[in-house]
Amino acid sequence: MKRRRVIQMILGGGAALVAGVTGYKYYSLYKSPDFDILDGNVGLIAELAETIIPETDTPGALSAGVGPMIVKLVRDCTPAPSQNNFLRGLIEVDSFSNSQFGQSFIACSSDQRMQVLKHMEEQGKPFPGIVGKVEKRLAGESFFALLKKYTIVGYATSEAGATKGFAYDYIPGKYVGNTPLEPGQKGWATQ
Amino acid sequence: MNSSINLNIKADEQNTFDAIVIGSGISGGWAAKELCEKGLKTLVLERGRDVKHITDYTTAMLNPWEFQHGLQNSEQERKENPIQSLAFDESNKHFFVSDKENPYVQKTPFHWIRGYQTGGRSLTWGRQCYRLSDLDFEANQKDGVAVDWPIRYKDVAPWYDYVETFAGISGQNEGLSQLPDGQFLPPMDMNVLEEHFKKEVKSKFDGRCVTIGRTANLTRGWEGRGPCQFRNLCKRGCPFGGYFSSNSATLPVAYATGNLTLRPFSIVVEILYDKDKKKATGVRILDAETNQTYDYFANIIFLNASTIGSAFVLLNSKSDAFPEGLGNSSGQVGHNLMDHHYKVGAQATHPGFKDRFYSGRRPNNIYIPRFRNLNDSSKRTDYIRGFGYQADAERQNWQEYVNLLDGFGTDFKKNLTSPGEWFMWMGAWGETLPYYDNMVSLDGGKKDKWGLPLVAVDFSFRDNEKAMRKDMKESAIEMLLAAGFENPQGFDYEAIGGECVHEMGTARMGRDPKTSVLNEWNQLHDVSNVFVTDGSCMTSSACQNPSLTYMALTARACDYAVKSLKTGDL
Repeated sequence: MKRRRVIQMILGGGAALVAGVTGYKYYSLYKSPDFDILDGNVGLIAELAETIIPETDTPGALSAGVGPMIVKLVRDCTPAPSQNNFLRGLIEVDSFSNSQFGQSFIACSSDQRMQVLKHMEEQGKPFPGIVGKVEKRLAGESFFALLKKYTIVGYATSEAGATKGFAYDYIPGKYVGNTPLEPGQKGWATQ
Repeated sequence: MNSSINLNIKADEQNTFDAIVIGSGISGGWAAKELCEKGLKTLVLERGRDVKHITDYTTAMLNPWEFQHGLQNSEQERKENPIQSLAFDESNKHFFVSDKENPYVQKTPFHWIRGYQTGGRSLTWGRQCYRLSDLDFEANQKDGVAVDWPIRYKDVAPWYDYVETFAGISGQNEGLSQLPDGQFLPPMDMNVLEEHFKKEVKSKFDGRCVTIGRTANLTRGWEGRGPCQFRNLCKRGCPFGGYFSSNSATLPVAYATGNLTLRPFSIVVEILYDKDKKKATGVRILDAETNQTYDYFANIIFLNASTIGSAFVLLNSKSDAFPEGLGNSSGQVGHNLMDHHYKVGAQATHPGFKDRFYSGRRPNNIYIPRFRNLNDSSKRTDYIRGFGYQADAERQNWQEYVNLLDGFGTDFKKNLTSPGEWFMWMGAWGETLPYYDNMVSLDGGKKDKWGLPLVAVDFSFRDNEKAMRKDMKESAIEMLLAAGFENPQGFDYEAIGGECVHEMGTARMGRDPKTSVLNEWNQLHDVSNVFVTDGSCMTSSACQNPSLTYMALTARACDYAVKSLKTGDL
């Protein structure tokens, strides 16, 4: 088995341990996620992704179509506790934005959007070390960690992201192990 | 009445071949090629669907954005296939079995990764090819472990030459006694950091060698296949025929002889035995689609159903003569199951070479051959045998940044899309000793949807492997630091049997019919016209990736079998 596979297995670890999580906490983590929240916020998700990977001289997450991909990844590829964290986070984004700036995230200026995401990033920071690992296992990944992970995956595997944001070579034909790093060289989209 | 007898005779004739090969994976494909080329009408029985070279590689040319989930597995997929989904992703799940339809009993945790289709796991294998040496073939005897291999390197060496020359293995000869040289196509490039590491290790560690991986990827066109296009998408099947699989290499040659019949959806229930002739007469199968039973007959039978699959076939072939399963008078069938233990090593970053990069996607790693317990000066007191490292160096990119890179916004994007620091990952693959009670058996109580008993697996790694793992981690860190790497992070994840997909040992070779299943020609001690040449024949596991050895032993056994047929010994 190849190295990538080993890493994926380590990261993947879909099964969450539930020992020690009881009562309401368990319910709120493992209840069936209300996907209406997801479907009703496709635009918000796309704008959140754009705040993480904005349009510059290369396409941003919005035009790369990362929003719909995040929705798919949350719906299909995410364990229930993390799904619930994500849905709660979506609601919190707008409630924080409303309380701070009197308007929804989408209506905010780019500076205000950065502040909202900074808040979400702080909120989502795991405890350091082993405690954080256990927390992640029990309670799933935080809203911000998921949003960022799926934005990166979605962008790097999108056509615009892979071919314009990164360097993509469909059929390389050869491997050259030592090349000069040219100015402005992008990282490879695929390995 | 006469007509019905005639019908039966006719049916038997249609179902009669010179040879039957059970399984079309890496060793079954070789058996098919060799037997067909030697003029035997050969039936290959494959329990899964047919997968045709190129046309059935449905995802091979897809870009990342043409997948539903950016190549991630869905939760539903993980739930339905909790074992197989550890090994597949969205791009190649169609080359793995459904866990739901193919249950087995885990007496202890064991991940049985399977591909039921033409080509078996040769479509998705890791392609690393290393010879065993006399260090390996003599090990059991010297250590007093299990039984002695009935062969030595000199017996297999010409067959390694033979299979390497056909398969096409790229690599570099290094003149090492513990990892013999071979017939190689040009080696792939190392990148700048790997070259640096190679020099540093050579100068700082006596007797340690860093070499480019020896891989069944074609660095130039070979036998009408390839060359490799450096897409690193081998696991989807290669439309360029850039790597060795049964589908791309051995089966097309077998077909070209006009002697091959391949029957998909053929689940082998048992090998039929005639106690008067003391020979196997044929094979009984269930058609996986119709549930109909069919019998096929042949003079010789090659069993290549994979280590656990072949043990199942033998154990399930019960008769008056063999109440415990065909060829099992020793009681060893199913026992001595091995898998390499891995998922231990280290990674570290390197501060240099910031102005260097690479292009193309090399489907290969670098390799550090075993350096422990080779001689007195490398002798360990805490464990026997050894391990090799597979490693590669890259610059960090988005796959690493998912976990590493803080922040978001314009600067974050710039960092995300730029090549980051150089780092190297080193993982060790370690030898596992054969333990009698690491085993597969038939679970009589539970049946699969075809009414066949389930396989039960009982497996654990023991003290020798555990002691080795400490060294596997520490030595990786030691070498990385010596080569100027920074921030080394050792890892040692819980090793579960089967994960390495190197199952071996359930029908071991040996000199004594009382303590082993197969003789020096991979022939059942008990039944001379049945040969087992997949991983189940392995008497010890060594630490090298094993498939090349199965290929060599298969070609060797085919040669012996056909010669014996001609001399009337079979």
